[in-house]
Amino acid sequence: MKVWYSGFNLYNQFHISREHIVNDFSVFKYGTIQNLVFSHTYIAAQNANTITFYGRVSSNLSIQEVRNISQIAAVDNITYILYNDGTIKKVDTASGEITDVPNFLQTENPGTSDYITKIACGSKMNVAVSYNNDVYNIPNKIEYNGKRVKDVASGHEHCLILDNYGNVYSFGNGLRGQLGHGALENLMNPTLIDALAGVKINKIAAGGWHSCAVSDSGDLYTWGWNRNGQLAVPTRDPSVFATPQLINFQNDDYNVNNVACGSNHTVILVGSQVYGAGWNKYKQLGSISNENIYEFKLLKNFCFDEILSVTCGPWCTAVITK
Amino acid sequence: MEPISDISYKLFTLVKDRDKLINSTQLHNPIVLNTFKEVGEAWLKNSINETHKLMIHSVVDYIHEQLHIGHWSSVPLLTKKAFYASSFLKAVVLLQLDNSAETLREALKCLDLGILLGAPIESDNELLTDAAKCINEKLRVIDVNEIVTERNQKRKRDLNCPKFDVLNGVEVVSRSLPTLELFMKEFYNCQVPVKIQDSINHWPAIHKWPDVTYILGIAGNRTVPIEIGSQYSDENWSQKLMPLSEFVKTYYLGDCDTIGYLAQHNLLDQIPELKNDICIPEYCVTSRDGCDEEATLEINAWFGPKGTISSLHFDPKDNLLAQVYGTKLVILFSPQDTQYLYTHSDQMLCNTSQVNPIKPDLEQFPEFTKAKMMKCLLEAGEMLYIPPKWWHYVVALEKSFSVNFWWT
Repeated sequence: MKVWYSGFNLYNQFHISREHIVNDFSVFKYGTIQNLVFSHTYIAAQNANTITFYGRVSSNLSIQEVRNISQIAAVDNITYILYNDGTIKKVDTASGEITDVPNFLQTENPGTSDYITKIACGSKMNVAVSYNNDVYNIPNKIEYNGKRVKDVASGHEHCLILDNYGNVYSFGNGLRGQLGHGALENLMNPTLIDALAGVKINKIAAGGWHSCAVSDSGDLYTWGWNRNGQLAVPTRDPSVFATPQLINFQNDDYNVNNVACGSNHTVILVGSQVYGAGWNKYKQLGSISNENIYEFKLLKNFCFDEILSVTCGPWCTAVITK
Repeated sequence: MEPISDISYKLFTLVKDRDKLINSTQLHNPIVLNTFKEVGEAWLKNSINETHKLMIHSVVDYIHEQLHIGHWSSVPLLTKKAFYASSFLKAVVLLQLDNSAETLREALKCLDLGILLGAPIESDNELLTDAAKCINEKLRVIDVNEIVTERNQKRKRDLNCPKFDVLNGVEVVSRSLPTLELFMKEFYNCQVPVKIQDSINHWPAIHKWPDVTYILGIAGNRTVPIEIGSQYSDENWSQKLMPLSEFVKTYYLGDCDTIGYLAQHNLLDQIPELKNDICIPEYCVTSRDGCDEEATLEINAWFGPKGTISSLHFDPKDNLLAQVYGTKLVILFSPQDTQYLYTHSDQMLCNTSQVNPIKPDLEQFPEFTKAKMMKCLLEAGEMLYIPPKWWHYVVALEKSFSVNFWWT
């Protein structure tokens, strides 16, 4: 598996490059990896029951588990490990300290068992989804009335939920329009985004203060904070869009396959091409010279490699190919 | 221009406690904090290089993001202090490596952001304002004439505002230089608005500030927050940070279609030189019975072209609005009339009315006619006392500079 990286590298998290800023989608071959997550100061790679850390972490931090790992998530100097049995561990990567996250499950019918199947982490909120389709803003259970959760994504302080029917729900802090309900209010519980009702959504992504959704027919919607152009809308004013905006580019003749968000940037996959918009101070969008990019620009064409996924860290972009 | 080491040495000597500046700073992310300290130590050893520049950029950018997570009031004080300290460090690192005018401007902007978004550190609570003043003095050669000769306000902005005399409403009473005792007895204690005349005519600001070249000389290079859009309750309203000179050029002297307003900004603390031009009125040292809280005073500047509007709203504090130059029309309603004023339902605008009292839409807001309107024409050298929770709407009838005092 190859990882093509561009962006912030002060902590040598993309360890094959000695540059503090990688600006050209340098490539590294990782072998087999199930999960690759990007924090501000390190990259964590999970393969089977082993997690390897690259970058600035406590010396000799390496994790080799007996139990099967299902998912990892990273925010700042914390990495969360979710096991197949639904328990969660918290790794302080700076100190090396590893602690159990106390069980927070609340099952309504005694005797029925439930366990966590998915987590998403942000600076202000960590969200978990259970086998019985309950949603937790850890450690509190919140009211979710949607269908089975297909995906969950966290920004700094908001969260998006995508259900199996293609509906998108949001909750958390809405001060910068990231919830998409028109008002700038905060919401405790996942609330259906009305403006996307009737549009079947396939993919969601949450940036620091912005949100993206891709529809079944390949249309892209963005909303939230546009401080650096991360929404790729045709105007720079206002800086906040509190309802989803349908993004037109290349004369509408395009099909977005996937989307990923960094703290203040957005990348989309269109066929074999990766486009990006938003903050580029640390070259999270590659070699383009502008500090902010206000409309989608082609970052790289991967016509010779099969793209498995695009993903972002706070200030970096990574394209994973076979 | 002086040699490189000069300005950065000057800033170095401004720091009262260098060790505290570097070592007392805290941050929730220990790795980023270490990066800050590493740069600080290199600075103390005078061994700054390009890598340190990238390091401190990334520290400031990282904390800048942290400052925008959650509501402003919930951001931890230590994060705001870390931003203050790292903004200083960034400015000195930049100036150590280069002292072109462009870098001086970048360093000054960085210090201003530290002042605007950060919180002063105890050991050096005037560090950024002093450092900014120091850099500004080197930069003061700003071409004031270039900005001021572009007086091309060709189009007259139509205010759509009826003449004061034909406006409905009772005129607010005026008193010439009332004694503190009289002010308390007749207005402050019974919470009645009053226009105070002849009490600020001695402010140096009254004759200095109308000359915009004076303001530009002291503050032209400084970064300030500007409200764009006619009033804050409008949908397309926004806030931007820009150098004061750009604001003056585009919005104050220029004929830009959009209104720009330096509103409710603590400019006099950002630039203490301007504070010397005013005096704090004795009226705002009063306090209410049974209020044990420590008295607080907040001073804000309101600087803008003709036509700036503050929507009808109320504030929780006692307020003195002092008019340095220009004329403002103020419309007031007592808190008892709240039921007729159609407050916005949005939680962020819960102190704001939907009614435009100058041109009320009576079909949409029929009850508004029951509210008892008061009006006040506030001219240069006059002050208006607005009691707590009194509704007020303010429009500038010409270019204007006001200073207001909020106190409890």
